[in-house]
Parts: sequence; structure tokens; C-alpha cells
Amino acid sequence: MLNIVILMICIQQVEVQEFTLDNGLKLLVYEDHFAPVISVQVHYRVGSYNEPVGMTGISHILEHMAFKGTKRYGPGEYNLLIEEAGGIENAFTSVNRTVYFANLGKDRYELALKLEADRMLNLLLAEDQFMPERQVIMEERRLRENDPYSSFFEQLDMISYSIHPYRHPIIGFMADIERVTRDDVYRWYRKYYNPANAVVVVAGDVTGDEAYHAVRKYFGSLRGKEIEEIPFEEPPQRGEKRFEYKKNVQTPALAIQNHTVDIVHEDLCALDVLSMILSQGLSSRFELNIVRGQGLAINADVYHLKYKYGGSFIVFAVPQTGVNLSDLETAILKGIDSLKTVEVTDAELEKARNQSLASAIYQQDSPAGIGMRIGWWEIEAGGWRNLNQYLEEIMNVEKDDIMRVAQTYLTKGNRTVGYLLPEEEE
Amino acid sequence: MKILILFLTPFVLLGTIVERDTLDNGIVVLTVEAHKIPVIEMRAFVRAGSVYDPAGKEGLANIVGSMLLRGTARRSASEIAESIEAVGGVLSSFCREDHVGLTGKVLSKDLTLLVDLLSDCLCNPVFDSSEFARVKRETVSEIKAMADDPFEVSNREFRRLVFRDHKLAHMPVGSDTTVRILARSDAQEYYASRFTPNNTFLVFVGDFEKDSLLARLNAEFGNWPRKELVFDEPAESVEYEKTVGRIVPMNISQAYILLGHLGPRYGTPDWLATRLMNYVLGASSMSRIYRMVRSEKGLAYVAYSYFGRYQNGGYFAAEVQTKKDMAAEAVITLLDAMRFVQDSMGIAEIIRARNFYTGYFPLTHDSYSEMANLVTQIESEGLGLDYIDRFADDVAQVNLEQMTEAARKYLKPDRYCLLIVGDLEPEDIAVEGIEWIE
Repeated sequence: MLNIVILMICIQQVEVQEFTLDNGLKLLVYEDHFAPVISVQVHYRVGSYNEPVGMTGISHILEHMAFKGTKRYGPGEYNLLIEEAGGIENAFTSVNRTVYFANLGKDRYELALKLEADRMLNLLLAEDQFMPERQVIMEERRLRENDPYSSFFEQLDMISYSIHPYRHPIIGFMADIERVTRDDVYRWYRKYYNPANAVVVVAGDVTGDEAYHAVRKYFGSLRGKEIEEIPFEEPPQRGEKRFEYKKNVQTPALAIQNHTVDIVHEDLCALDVLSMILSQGLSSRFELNIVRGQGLAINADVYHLKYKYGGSFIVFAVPQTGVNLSDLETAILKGIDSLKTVEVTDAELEKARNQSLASAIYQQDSPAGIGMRIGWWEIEAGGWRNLNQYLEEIMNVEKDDIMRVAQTYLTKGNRTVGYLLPEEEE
Repeated sequence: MKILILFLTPFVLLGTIVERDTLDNGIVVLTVEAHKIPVIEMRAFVRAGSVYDPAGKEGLANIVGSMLLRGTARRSASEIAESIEAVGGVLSSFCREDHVGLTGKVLSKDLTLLVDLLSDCLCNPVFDSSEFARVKRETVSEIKAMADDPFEVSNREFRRLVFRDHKLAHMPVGSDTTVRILARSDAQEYYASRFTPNNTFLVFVGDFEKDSLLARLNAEFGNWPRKELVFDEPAESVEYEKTVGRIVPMNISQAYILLGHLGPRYGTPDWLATRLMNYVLGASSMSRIYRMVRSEKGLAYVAYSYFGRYQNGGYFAAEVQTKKDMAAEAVITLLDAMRFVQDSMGIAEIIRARNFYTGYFPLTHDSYSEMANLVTQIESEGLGLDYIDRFADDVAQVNLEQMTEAARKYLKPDRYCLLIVGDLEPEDIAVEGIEWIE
């Protein structure tokens, strides 16, 4: 077994070449020569975490406006040029990052670098573009509000975090989206978009040297300015929180949240293994006991959301027809509590390790996908090297670690329980 | 038969070989060997999808698909899940309109296990009665939960509106009423009539050696007997002779709009021209619909068009979600965009569409999983093993006349179906010529 583990770890090691330009821009290159394609990604160290009250959603607004023209290229021209080159492009905002990416043929990937360097320096954020785009973003927010679960999760974040910026929705509150001005967005752009606050990832059919020279060519002349990020700590929760959320749904749902640890904390991996044992796959405990065994739920999924400044362990379950939420909650909590008193089995632990190993290898299938992981680890998880370190630590998780983290973090006093209920149910 | 994909365009995968073999009992096996990572992707497709659901038993094919993993003569449902997941593998079932099947992924060291499980699940499901009841209950609960999601509701109801009595009118999952009445014997009979080796194809992509894989497949599937199949193919779908509209009431802040009609099925010779035309119309951020609805008017976050195609029919849909009071303007904008591509497409847009698809093509198979999906598409659509090889040339030959002809043939801005989910009334949609139906 040990030999297999060592062998598999060797196979899965993600080899990244790291370069830093004089202006502070970090370049991470991942070579994958399976197909003649390259993914170019620019990850900025800014997201909803950085946003003050009253300005929620501003990072996301900027992300939208970043396609609306620069001093050199007109509105939409970025999309046009990439698509004409047969590429696909998009962007997204998360709690700690804003990411722009383009995947395209190897002989034209420099086009994406050229456009991204321009975007980093020359955005216009013109008022006549700002107004209609803000309407688009408001429609995007309405779309989420109409989704049966999105606004429920938004409520869960707002209640489970009391003061931490993670309580704010990434897309922002509607009132803030309406309030933020073009000038606010411009100041946000000038503050956060510069080489020293960004990481460029180039993944695919390219060598490190080639990528380095290309990135230096386009980004080398830009001036960098490091931005200090203030760590924010959620105060310890002092007792269970509960809420009901009424919505026009027929099927209720249940969410149970517990605060966990920063991404670099030593208990992270034990919590991940615990999550896998509870809900990963059709042979997991929740699937066998709650979904299939007792027929209580359509699904009972665990998400251990790994954040830079404090994670979140969430169980989300939708009951089968006729099952009430309190019975489902009782069964889920019983399943969690059992981890505090009875050790997991050897087979469960080995399965979780094997799932982690396999998953790490599967994720190397797509150059764009592994590039995204590298960027995530670099910005949100203490550096890309932790990507490889993480798997080794997963392999070292033992049964008593799982019991200990269950006892430490999955407590009633650290828990928020939410019921999504049909409006008419009083 | 094999084809070597050479360096004919700048972006094909140099040296990639797609091979197609047929086992003794008729199973078609498509393989692509690659050795970048020690992983194998698998797809198993049986032509037994929801389009073959008997009338009144909609959702049966989907239940049969789920039951493939719910117990065999050798393994219980739990043992199947435990076997594959213990090694970090994945094995799941699916049901689409044309096919039911399994998808899988393992590390290459576990190929033997994957093939063993695959053959066991495909050839020996036992349709255990308690598992059958459980799957039905889970499915009914899922259908009820889907009724809360306006996306799901709008897509389901649009299909019903466009296809009317045709077999494609229902989603593969069926409805809660039809699923509730399904009997175990229905599933057994359906399985017995359609699950045969000569109605099945397999796709393997990744880190294996083809000859030894074929030998193993022959050994594992050798006892699965070939059987003559009688396909009761669905009748042709019938087009409306007028524009019809339907509003599905839902208390939400937006109108979920789907506008479209019947469209081409698999195998139409003008599909590539149609695909490029739709790129200009609504399949990119440079498309007419995206620019007119989103970029210029700020009406919506989601605005696009697509063709849903199957063996026995197809449809066209343009989709927008917007504020209730902008719904009429959104509908008019979609119709304007459709008319534009029928009358006013220019050479610049044709060139852009050609350039996009030629350059984009390698991205459609730049990983094992994407390659497996592409090979599956090639086989199920009958595109031919030279598809990858000839794609760029075929795209280059599409011209303005062909695209305009496709737009005039397959877009019907004067005779369409309009489905809106939301808190609206017909009088909120000030668009002429719509006959509203319940």
C-alpha cells in the first residue's frame, strides 16, 4: 500500500514553472503537450472579500466592465478578437479573486496576453457603457433570486458570518449594484489591477521559456504596486443560529453550516477527508444511510468550502416527498455526531485517500482546468506548491484526526441551521 | 477500420488515432489511445433513450438507466458503488433522448475492474423490486423539486409546446404521474427489448493498449447474445400552422422566454451551414442576439440561441430571461435577429464564424473526457471517422448562400412557438400575431 501511495503521489505531482517579473507580476506555467492549445489566465487578488459595506458587488461589476473597451480596443472588441482567433474567453469573480481567461490555439495565445496587458492598464469604463451593463448585472442578480436555492444560500452566508466580508454575496446586493457609480468602479480598477496584484497562468502546449518571454514582452513595461490585504477574522460563534427562509417553492430544503479553518490550517485535510466519507459518491455514508437507506432525501451533499480566511462546512439536503425537515436534520446530525465517537473504518479511510489521489490525476486532464487550480492555490491557498503538499497531507490523515476535527468544528455552538420553506407554510 | 489524424490543419492532434472495431456479438468499440496521464474515460451508449418510452410511461427509459447501477446478478447496488469508488473511480448512469448508458472514469491500473463492472451492469441488471421502488420514489421527488426552478420549467414546457404529441415532447425524466405508475415488469420488458450488444457502442479514451482492451471486452461481453431489434421509430413531428404562445404562471421577478419551433434532426446535410448561421445569430458573445439583447439594450444576462437535435427530430430555441416589463421588447428583438440572419448576413460574419469554428475545434477535444464526448458524438450522429480530419475543410467550404439558405429554411420568425414562464399575462406581450393557448 505504501509503495502504491508513493508511486501515485509521484505521478500526480503538478509541475509548475514559476517566474516573477521586475514589476512583481508572477507567472506560473504548466506544460501539457497533449493538444496544440493554450489557456491564458489572469488572476487578480481582489474579490468580494475586499469590498466594504455599501459597495458589495463592485469587483463583479468591474469584471463585466472589463470587456467594455480600452483606450486601444472598442467595447466588445476583446471578445471579437479572441473569437475570430477561434478562442473561447470569459471571466468570473469569487471571494478572493477575479479571473479572466482565454483558451485558444497555440500559435495565437499571445493575442490573449496582449489583450490582457491592455486590460490591466487601459480600461476606459465609459459611462455610456456602464449604464446598460449595470442593467445586465441586475438581471443576473434577478436570475439568482429566481433560482430556488441561490437566495437561500445567500441568507445562510449572511447569518452564519456575523461581520466577516464572506457574508456578502459576490454579485452584491441589488441596492449596492444600483448605487455604485462608474467613478467608484474606476477607482476600484486603479487600486487593484496592476502586475504586482496579479498572477498570470499559462497552461498547455508551451514551454516555460516561451511563456516567460511572451509575458515579459506584453506585461514587462507595466508598473506594479503591491497591495496589502488585511486579514479579517470572524469572531468565534457563541451558540447555534437557526433561520427559516420562505420562498415560492414547493419542495423545502435544509442547510447546516459550521465554521472551519483558514485554508492553510493543519486541520484542513482532515475536514476534507471527513467530508468525503460523509458524502462523496454513492457508497458514502449519507448516500447509503440517508438517501437510499432511510429514503429521507433526494440528496445530502457536503461542501467544505475552503476559503483563505476561514472555511465553511455545509450540508445541503433536499427531502424526498413527504419527509419533514426536522426528521432529515436529525438524521444528518446523527450521522455527523457518530464521527465524534466512533472511528471511521480502514476501508473508508483508504477509499477517501484513493478518491483524492485519483481526483488529483483526473484534474490534470484539461490544461485550462489545471491552470485554474494552480491559480486558485496561488492566490487563495497560500501558494501553488500547496497543491502538491495538499495531497501528501491528505494521505497522512488518520482516524483520530477525523474524530478530533468532528469534535472541534462540527459542534452545535458553531452551527447555523437554515430551513427553506414554501411561502404558504406558516 | 482506423484513421490517422495527421497534421492537415494547424490544430489537429498530431498522431491521434481514432479506431472503430466491432466485437463478435455486434458491440461497436471506438478507441483513442493516449498516454498523457494514467486515466481512462469510458462511455457506453445503448440506443434506448426516452424517445422510445411507451405512451403513458414517459420516464421509463430513465428509470431503466438508473437501475443499471442498482444491482446485478453478482453485485448489489451498494457493492457496485463500493467497488468503483474504493479505487477512486466514477461510474454513473444517464438517460437522454436517444440513448441510455453509463459513463466511467478510472486510473488505468483499474481498467479490468471498470470493464468487469461495465459488462456486469449492462448485461445483468436484476431490477430488484425494493431498489426499483426506491429509484421511482427518488425520481418523483426530483421531478417535484425541479418544478421550483424556472429554468427547468421553461425548458420542459417549451418542449411540450413545440413537439406536441411527438415522443420528443417529454423530457427524459418523465413526469411524476407517469413515473408513479411504472411497474418493475415495464422496466424488465423495456430492458429485454432494447439492451442488446448490436444496439450498443462503447468509447474508450486514454491510457490503455487497444488490442488487450478488445480481448478483454470480447471475454467480458462474449456471452451477451445478439438479438434482432424491431425499432418502432416515432412518427414525424407536426409543425404549427400559426404562431402560438403559452404563459406558465410563476411568481418570479423575471420572464423566462423561449422562442422557437421544430428544427433539423441528426444527419441533415446542411447542418454545418446551420451551425455557422446560428453562431452569427445567437451562439457567441458577438452574435446578433447577444449584442442586441444584452450589449446594446441591457435587457438580459442570458441571451442565446441553439438547435436541439436528435435521431428523430429537432428544434430551434432562442432564450432570454429579462424583467417582466421588458419581455415584449425582448421577444421583438429575438424576432428581429432571426430576420436579420435571413436577409442581411454579411461576408464579415461568415468569415468570423468560419474562423471561430476552425480555431475552436481543437478545444473540443483537448482532454480525454472531451475527446470521449467528441468520439461519442461522431458515432451517434454518424459523422464518420474522418470527421476530425475533414472538419476544417468542411467549415472552409461553407459560404454565405448556404448559411442564408439555412436561416431561411430553419428559422421561422413568422410562425413560431413562444413560451414564457413568469408573472405575466398575454396582454403584457404586445407582439402581433400570437394565438395564446392554455
